[in-house]
Amino acid sequence: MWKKIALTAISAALLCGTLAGCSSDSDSIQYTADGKPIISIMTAAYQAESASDDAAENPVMAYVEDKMGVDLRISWIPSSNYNEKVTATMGAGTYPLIMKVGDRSAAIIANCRGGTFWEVGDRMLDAEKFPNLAKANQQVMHNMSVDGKVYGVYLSRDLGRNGVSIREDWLEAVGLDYPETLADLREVCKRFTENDPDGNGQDDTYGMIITSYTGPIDNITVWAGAPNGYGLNEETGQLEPDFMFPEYLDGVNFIKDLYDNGYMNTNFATMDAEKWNEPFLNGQAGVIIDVADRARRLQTNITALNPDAKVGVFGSVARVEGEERRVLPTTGYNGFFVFPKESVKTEEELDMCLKVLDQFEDPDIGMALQYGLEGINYTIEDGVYKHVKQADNPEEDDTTNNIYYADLNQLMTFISGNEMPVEIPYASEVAERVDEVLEENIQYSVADPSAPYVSNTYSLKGTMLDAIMSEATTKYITGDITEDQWKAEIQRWRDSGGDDVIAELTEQWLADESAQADRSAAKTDTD
Amino acid sequence: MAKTKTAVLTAEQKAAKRAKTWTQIKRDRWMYLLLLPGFLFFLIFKIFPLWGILISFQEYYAGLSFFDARWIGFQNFVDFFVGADFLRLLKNTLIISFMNLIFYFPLPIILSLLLNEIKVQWYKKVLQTLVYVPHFVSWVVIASISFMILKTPAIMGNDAYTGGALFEIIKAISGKEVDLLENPSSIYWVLLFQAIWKETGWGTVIFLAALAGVDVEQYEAAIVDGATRWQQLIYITIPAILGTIVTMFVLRMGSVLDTGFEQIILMQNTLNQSASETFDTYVYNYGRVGGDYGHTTAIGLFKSIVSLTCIQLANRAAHAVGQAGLF
Repeated sequence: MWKKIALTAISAALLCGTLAGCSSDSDSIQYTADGKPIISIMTAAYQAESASDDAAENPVMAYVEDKMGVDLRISWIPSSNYNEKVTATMGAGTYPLIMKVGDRSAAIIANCRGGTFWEVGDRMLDAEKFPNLAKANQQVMHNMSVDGKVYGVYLSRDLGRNGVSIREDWLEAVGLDYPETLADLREVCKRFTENDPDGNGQDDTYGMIITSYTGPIDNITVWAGAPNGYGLNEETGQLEPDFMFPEYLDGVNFIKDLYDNGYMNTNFATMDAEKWNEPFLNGQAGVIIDVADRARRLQTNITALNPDAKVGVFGSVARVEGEERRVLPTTGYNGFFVFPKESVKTEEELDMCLKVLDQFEDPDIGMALQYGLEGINYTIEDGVYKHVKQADNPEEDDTTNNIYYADLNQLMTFISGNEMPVEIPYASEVAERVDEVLEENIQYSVADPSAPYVSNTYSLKGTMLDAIMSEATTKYITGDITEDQWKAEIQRWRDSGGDDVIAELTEQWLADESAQADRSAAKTDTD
Repeated sequence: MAKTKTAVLTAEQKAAKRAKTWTQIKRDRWMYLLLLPGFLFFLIFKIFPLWGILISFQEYYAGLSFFDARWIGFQNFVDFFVGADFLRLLKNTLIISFMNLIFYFPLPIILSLLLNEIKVQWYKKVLQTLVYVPHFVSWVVIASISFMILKTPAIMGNDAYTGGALFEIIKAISGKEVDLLENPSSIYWVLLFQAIWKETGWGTVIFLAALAGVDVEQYEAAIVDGATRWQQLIYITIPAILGTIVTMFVLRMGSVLDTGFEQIILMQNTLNQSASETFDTYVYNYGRVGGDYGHTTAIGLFKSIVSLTCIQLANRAAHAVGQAGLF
């Protein structure tokens, strides 16, 4: 008899195990025992260890949650895998209330059109309800729209954020001023390589560091006169991609020249972008083209290794002497927060979520998210902020690696301009210079006329099309293919669907009245 | 015979047969109950999800509702086959797969024959365990090690910068700077070597099991007849495990388009991509990262059909040469 019972029990247990995974739970916003709504947020993490969202162990979180009257549950996803995680989340259909999405990929556009996310364009501009979000920039919202509708709250970034970090003490050592033209920049890289800028008598330095990330190529080609993304070709009357303009090849040739002469690292194609700073910090190389604020972090980190090292920053260089310099602007946003209808069921709940993002922008909450708490992370002396270094944590400084607020600034959209309740002094000379560069850059920035439009072909084949040209350009720089072969790759790009992309973007651009009123904005004249 | 009998069964006999079946089921009811979870497992997780293949006929992205997605017929397949990437993917996949088949496939067989010849038992056991170890090292670790020993220096042609250990050794011996990781033609050999290092030992498991089943009396008889070790190998051992070899070969043909994506995606970079992009890495990049599920499901379905065809052909070939094959 016991045998039968045992058998039944085992079978039943196995059966239950099989079926257990099938239950589902799709309630609306849940509340904690003391009545606070639980707000789940998924966003990208950039630091080694992000701050805990548990108020019991994180006083910053306790302060923020108490002020806002919510219980925040944050899923930190490493930024390198972020898009993959978004796809997996959408595939599974179990969403947080607020989810950051990285870019307007084909899948995101399809989901916006398919009604997966709430449309928030008009709602977030209600200044009564969301005084901070209502300050959103119309141009940026236009650029991130899908079919003219806005499906998320963008994470604002400075338009003039791109810039060049450079070893200022090396410039002095080799007897040069800040470069103003591409030729100057080449001379800087040459002397950094050949003139022993660190004065140790050895041939162990080089000029520019480039990684497998193509950002520096995009910047240099714009400096050389190519359009940002797409530009108007007067002969065909079409919006064509940057690499179809001869100036683009000039920019690429500039890099190829650095490569051929060993003025930059030749292992760039296999170098991980995460290791970008290493040669700079080790005193091997002295130029990085990326966001200007990298200079600030480089200064902080290099001082610990070499107190004499001085980091400088500049926005860009002119193509040739006497010409105005050009700057590749950012899109003005770095991804956006969406609100999936699957998790946010009603308009009231949507308002609650928007309110949370709005509150993150409040000066005192924004201060806590970026700098922690007074008395723990900083003191105020004469109304001026002073960071208190964390004991036993040599990696920590005011903006990175603090266990209480690392990455919490990723929750903020920075739409309202980031007013702080106290004066925050610059951590270094270069930090102040960075802010000036961001400002200066704006008047030189080259807009991407195709930004607001969506090409369906590009949505479908964009990854493949982009891969064709990035591979071709890399191989051209390393000398694996010739200029003619590089040009043949452009033809392959066009044949593989590129021509459709051009046609679709041009059609939308021609139909856009505001764009047609100022056609010259799309031109890329350098003469 | 059985067929004709059932055909002429009377209604009565049929009823009796059904009753008998029912009695048997009733008698073995606990066994059937035990079978149920396994049956449900296959039904729910293997058979039922097959309807998802339908999205390969849709313009479907992760997150969309199946019912909302637009039906586009064979457009995904057409796009894929006429697309610029198809021939390149097919070429790369086949090269990697056939290099694996030619150079890797015989190695576990040779290694197990060698192991089998070792007469000192404890030594054989220790060796056997040692050759299994690389199988348990993850691809991430292997890729990191490969990168560390093969990487090129920051500036080529400048002795102030050093590359990986193997890079420097090759440079010292040949005087040439060889960028094995960045060269489309050499990446195949790197991938092959990694696969051989990792899986050869583990691959011996099944052949050693087959070798253990060979009748010892045959060897004894052969020794009495004066057969040398070599002759024993040729006339007894190899014929005895030939069936296993053929079965493994047929199975291998079934996965001729599966190159495994983990290893390759880890070794991939812009410079070798033209050689290292295969169906599996393509599906990862477009489906898993890009969310284009419809298009990538179509590729998966294509791969399955090719695999089924290959396995059938290989099996028929096995039958044709008088082997049992797989089924």
